[in-house]
Amino acid sequence: MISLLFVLFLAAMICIVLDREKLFFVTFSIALAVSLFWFHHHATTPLAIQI
Amino acid sequence: MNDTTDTALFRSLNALGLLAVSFILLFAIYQQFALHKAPCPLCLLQRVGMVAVMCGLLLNVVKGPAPRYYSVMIIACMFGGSVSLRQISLHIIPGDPQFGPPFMGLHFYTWAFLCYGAILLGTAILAGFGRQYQPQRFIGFKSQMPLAKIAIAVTLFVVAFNVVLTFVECGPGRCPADLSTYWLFK
Repeated sequence: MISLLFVLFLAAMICIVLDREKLFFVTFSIALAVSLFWFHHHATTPLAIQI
Repeated sequence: MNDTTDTALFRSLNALGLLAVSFILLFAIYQQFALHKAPCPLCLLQRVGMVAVMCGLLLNVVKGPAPRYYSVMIIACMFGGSVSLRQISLHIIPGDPQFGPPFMGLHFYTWAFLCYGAILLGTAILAGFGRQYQPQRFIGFKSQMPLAKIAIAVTLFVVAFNVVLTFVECGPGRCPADLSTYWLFK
């Protein structure tokens, strides 16, 4: 679910505000990985470009 | 130990950056309701990319500028730019029914790609000023300058709003195929 991505990045931002930098990088990395997975999931339609 | 003048200046510039990206996201939300068309999954992923960029800006504001924080912004721009480029590619063939109405001659995914390019350029320019890099100093919300307080509050609000809005639209599963309806109001 896409709202999970926003939740993960919000959690990462809260880590910043609470001065938890290492936890931020862990959360950010997880959020980015899930985002890439979701992008790959949605980018399955073949492009209509013919060479 | 207080910030040097340069560090304080660059914290302020990053705070302005936070407000600028917040404005982009709020404008996207406004258009969503003005045009009565919910964002597609790729559109939502582009919003996610903007939020990721805000993480780097927020780090610079709260902890003081550091090269690794600008790296966060660059990586976020590459993700968001890839998504918008993908959506441009889907509709690039002449005669293709574009997604959504154009705004000032360009579609929103094209504007998103241009925004990511501008953020990337701005990041590259800002990161080059070495005088801003001082030993890290965390400044809590209450001790921040007024501009930074506003930027942080607006940022957290915008991201939280996106959490709620996206859940209202898509719920716990896939986003609906019919983008004129919202999951919660079905």
